[in-house]
Amino acid sequence: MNVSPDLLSEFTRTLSAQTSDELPQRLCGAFAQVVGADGAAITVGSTPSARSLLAVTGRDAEELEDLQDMIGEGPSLRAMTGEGPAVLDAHAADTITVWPGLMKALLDHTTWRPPPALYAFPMRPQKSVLGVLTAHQHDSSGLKVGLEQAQFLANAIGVAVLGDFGSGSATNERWLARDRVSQATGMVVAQLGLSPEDALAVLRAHAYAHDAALSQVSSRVVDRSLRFAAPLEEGPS
Amino acid sequence: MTHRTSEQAFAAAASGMVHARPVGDILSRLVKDCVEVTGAGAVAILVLDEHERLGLLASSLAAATHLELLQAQDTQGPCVDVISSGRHQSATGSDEMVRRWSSVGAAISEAGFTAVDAYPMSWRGRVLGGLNVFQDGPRPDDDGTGLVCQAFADVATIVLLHSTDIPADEMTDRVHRATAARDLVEQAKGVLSELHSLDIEQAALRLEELAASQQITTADAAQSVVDQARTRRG
Repeated sequence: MNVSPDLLSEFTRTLSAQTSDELPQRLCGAFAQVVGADGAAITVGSTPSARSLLAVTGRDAEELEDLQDMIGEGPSLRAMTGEGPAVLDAHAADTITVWPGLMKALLDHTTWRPPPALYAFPMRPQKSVLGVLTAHQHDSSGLKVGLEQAQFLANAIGVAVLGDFGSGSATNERWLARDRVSQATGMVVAQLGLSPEDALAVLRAHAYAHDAALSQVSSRVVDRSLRFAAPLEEGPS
Repeated sequence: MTHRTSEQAFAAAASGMVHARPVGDILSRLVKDCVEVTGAGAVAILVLDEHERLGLLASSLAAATHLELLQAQDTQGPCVDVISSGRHQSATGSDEMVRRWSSVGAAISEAGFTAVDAYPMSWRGRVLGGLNVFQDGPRPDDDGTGLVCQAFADVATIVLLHSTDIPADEMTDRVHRATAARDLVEQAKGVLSELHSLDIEQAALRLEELAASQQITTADAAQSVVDQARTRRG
């Protein structure tokens, strides 16, 4: 296989034009642009229930990740197995049989018509999968670069994400958003007596039903404008 | 392209470009592109090897090759400083270059360069090398040039790391464990916040108090808080 140096140079130029202060955010935006996608998301985690967003280019990318978590199916989750890129092409004949739950949800979704194509790449700095880089494209016209080339970039981005990890990540907006999801999960654990996995599923289902992002719903739970049980008798202590 | 299994293809991709193309070729191309994009006179990369010796990795011009070898030999110069400090180095004009790097500064000036910059190639706080940018015309006053050069330094770093034996699997595992531990602590704050009507900062303090009073780690205290809450009502 050949990795085109042109692609690497284009990626570098694109990367330098990204304005975010956060490296993962810049990598995410540059990747979407270089592969010819409409947006992208970087998630980190080793299992579907413990993965979280590190960067997104926008609302669509975030919702597409939330949706896959909610349905428990999709290219981003499949790519976590590390078996290579996973693609959802709404035009392909077998898509509905490969991704029945996700396709139904996408077809039900009023803002995405037709459903976008999803291209998910495991980020493998070495052998282990650090997370997944998923690009979406509304017109499903196909990526500008081959899957192998995009996969190479995803692995390289994995090295960069790994290098950046922990450096000031406590103040990263995305990490604070992730913390809020965890805090809201804990509150729902206490409200309903559920396991954290089930409490997270409750939050995801609520977000899906109300067409909101998981991060938004979590913020409302943490600031107590949303709760999943009757008020507790216990007062402040 | 010959047919190969996806497993083979991705094993090759994961091990970087080294097997497809010598890493030196890729870096040579990158420094040439950096010249083209920024309009610099020359760009070169100096790195530290495993024995902490300086070595030239790529150069867009013979004159720059000579200047890098001189820096490696005299252990002084903009690239030497960027590697030792991890910070962007910049000097304009013969006087400043000579004052900072004596004979190396003079050599840069004599080679026809009017200004020099060096950008750190660092990863996880460790500086692996420097990207040296030589100007042969007026220094571009566009702030964007610095960002472009730093991006080239960053991508060169990733390419270099991809071809070397970094313990990426071990680090990936550490990231996953650290993330899971952080999630658990945040969940415990949420539980305490809900049960005792505390805000998140107060809940964090409460968790620390619990850990201190029971003489256990914060992680263990968090686990116990979450475990108790889930069985409380269920």
